[in-house]
Amino acid sequence: MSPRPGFVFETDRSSPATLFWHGEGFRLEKLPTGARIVYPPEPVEALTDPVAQIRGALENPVGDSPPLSALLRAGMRLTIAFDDVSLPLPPMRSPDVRQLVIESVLDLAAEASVDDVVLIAALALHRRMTASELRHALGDRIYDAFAPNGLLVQHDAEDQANLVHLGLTTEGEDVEINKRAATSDLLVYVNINLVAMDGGHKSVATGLASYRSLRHHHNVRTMQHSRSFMDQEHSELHSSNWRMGRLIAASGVKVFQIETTLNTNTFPDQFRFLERREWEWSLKDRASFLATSFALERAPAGVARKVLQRTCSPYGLSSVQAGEVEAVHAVTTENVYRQQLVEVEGQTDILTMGLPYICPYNVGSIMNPILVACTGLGYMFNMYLGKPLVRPGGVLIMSHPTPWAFDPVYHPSYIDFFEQVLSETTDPFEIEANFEESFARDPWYIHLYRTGHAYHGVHPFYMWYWCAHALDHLGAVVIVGGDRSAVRRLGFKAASSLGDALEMAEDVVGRHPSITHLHSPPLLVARVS
Amino acid sequence: METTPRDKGKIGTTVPDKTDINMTTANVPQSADTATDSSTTSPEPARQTALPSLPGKKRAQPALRHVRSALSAWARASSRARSLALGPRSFPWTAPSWPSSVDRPPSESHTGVNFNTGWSRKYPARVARAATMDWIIKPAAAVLATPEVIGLDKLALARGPFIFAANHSSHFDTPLLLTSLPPEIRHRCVVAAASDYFFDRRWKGFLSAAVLGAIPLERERVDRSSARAACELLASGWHLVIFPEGTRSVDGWAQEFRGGAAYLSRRTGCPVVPVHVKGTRAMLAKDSRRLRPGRTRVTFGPALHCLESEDARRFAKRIEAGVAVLADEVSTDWWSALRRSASGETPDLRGPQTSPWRRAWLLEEHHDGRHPEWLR
Repeated sequence: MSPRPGFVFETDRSSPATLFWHGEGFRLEKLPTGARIVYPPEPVEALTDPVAQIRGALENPVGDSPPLSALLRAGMRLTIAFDDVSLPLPPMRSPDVRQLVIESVLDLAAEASVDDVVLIAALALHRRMTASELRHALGDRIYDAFAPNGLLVQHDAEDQANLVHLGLTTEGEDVEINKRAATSDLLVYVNINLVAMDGGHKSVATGLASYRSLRHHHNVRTMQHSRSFMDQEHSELHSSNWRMGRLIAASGVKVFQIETTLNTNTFPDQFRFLERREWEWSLKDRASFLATSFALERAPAGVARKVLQRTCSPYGLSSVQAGEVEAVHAVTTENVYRQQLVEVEGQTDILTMGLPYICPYNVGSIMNPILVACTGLGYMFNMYLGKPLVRPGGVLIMSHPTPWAFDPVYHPSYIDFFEQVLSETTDPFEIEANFEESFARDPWYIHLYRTGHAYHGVHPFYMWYWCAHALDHLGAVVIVGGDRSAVRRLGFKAASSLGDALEMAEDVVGRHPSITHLHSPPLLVARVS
Repeated sequence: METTPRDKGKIGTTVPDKTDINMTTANVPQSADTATDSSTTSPEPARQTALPSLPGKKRAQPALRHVRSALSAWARASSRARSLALGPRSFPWTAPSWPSSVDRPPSESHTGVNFNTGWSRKYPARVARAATMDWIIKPAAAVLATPEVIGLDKLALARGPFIFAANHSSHFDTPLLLTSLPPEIRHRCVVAAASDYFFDRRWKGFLSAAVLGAIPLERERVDRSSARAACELLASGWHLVIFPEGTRSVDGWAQEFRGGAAYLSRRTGCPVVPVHVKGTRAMLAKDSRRLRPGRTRVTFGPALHCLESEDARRFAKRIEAGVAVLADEVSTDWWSALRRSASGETPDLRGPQTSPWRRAWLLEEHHDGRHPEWLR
């Protein structure tokens, strides 16, 4: 039976309560009658023989590109770059799709007697991956063959000796990327496209770039003019990356892009209720929900977090395509939309959503208040094509505990950003103008980024910039069940319950507002007409 | 409150100085979270002093403390349960309501022919069934029905698995027939039961499969899946009891034999053993609610094989004729029945095609002139 498409449901008196994610827990909330709930499409069929499909994609590239085997020759410099730990979310159950793809690439490289091969984790300004994360993403075979010999490296955006400036785009943007990648005879980029924003020229132009290059598109103006990130035609972030990517190609860097898409089979069997519509919950689903909720609520916060963070998704590979970057990405985007797109009619006054325990930047750690804001306003708000789900001046209600807690190893600069910057102002423009440079150039943060597992000093700024479009668009943001002081520090309002939050929202949007709930994750993109 | 949404200032420009308005007023019901918050802020000793103390009963105070702590633990537990959901009597404690605006998809049925009986042929279930059959049902049948079993020696002349095709006039036919079989057959035997009757509820299906080893058979329409399942069981060495009439007799006379048993025999090559059961209708007729003791007789005929030139319909006729000869044998004797069969004079199992009362009258004659049914 083919998977059911996404669905917009209008609640009535007979509707059961609706599941809201709430960090490392859940809430069941009764939405008012007439509220809309946008449910994601069911997972599309996964490819039955992924390895064969990958081999087929490498030998039958799309766009103006010869097959990979024809590009490989003895004596060449081959660099394979791959997406870091921020994709996919939650981490994929072994074998990870990166492992499958890179093993296939290396099989061909071995057949062609290519000796000089280096693997690079494309981190940009993210934290370095741990050994176990690399092993999980690449598999034992690759890790044991490359890591001990120093051939498995992680991109260092602050290592000036290993960066190369390729020039300026027509808009005056610096393009500075990893030297090994830029000077290789062939750069193979292995991508996981969890959302439409991933992949394309962004892979190299962002993943392998330096701060000097990234600041040209990771800034408030670009973020505010990306409407949305998932809509390539209307995303300034996308346009900037495309300009840079074309300059990279014009500079003689030969990129063979391999992009993969995953279905939305996001949660294992014990959490299957998260993917089902509430009225379809079976006895098993209800028992799972109650047992999980009780266990998570009673467990210490750290234990609950660890349990959830260790959960791996049974994602299925839904498509794989390889070849020339732009042609590949066009096919990939279609496949992402095929899985995630839901048609929604009209905007809403109030948009509600539950935020889960994980986002791209807290794998293995705490989802701190800045990441809560970024997940809700930067990511979930932007899961649209056309118009935002919520009207200009509308209210976004998010459900998350928003603890005033930070991981000092992964997010040291976040702590100072929260304490020093947000206590002064929450205006993205003001923050960018007054504080960014000092955090970005701070030698201590740079040291922690390069030698430890810390995100770059400028990273919390980027997280705040991701929110810029939503902050500009919305009339108010309310967080349900969040730590009051942390929520206030973000500049949002705190509510104890959804009822209170709706009451507060009515003060902004007027009485009898229209309400829409985004029932995600699993991920969906709303095409709002 | 007056609202001008579009005139509101953009958020994120200043640190908010406005007090959060989630502090609910007294007339607004407190949410679970709010209740939890207030419980943590209000000092616990104040609650304890609110409880009355018992004058002159100092020794009772430790016990009272235990009661108090138990009550507060219970209150905390129920508060936690409410914070998880909307209350113990609503979803998700109970099944969710189905929104009226959403069409119900055709549910995946687990009843009828879709009822899975595989578990009932697993070893533990078989042992339990054998124990039930041998130690409960067989003694009960012996006491209630006083069965006389004839013709089991004929089974030794053929090679199984067998398809036992019997006339059907009572629910008691199945346990009687099963307990009449030799143990080695009885303990590896399944019963074809109407899927729309014995498997329309899961508990009925469970009970039928557990106690009798029943498997669902579609009788109202052509259904290859149930026939295929029966064939697979026969092929794997299971014997099968089937009532080719498809339902119990209404007036005591047999109904036309359907082709199910013949079809299965033709498909699998298994021989069909005609069986005639007499006396069970007097014990428990179709519309009767009361089981009466009686005397019964179970007669096994010679195994029949489907001929190459024979289709299922013709073979079904031959099976029916085989049961009719057994019925005649019960009324007369083996030799007389054999001769009448040879001369084509075996009485029709379905009775004469005449008026209902005459059929009933003749039936009583057929049953050795006992009291007419209306007198019982």
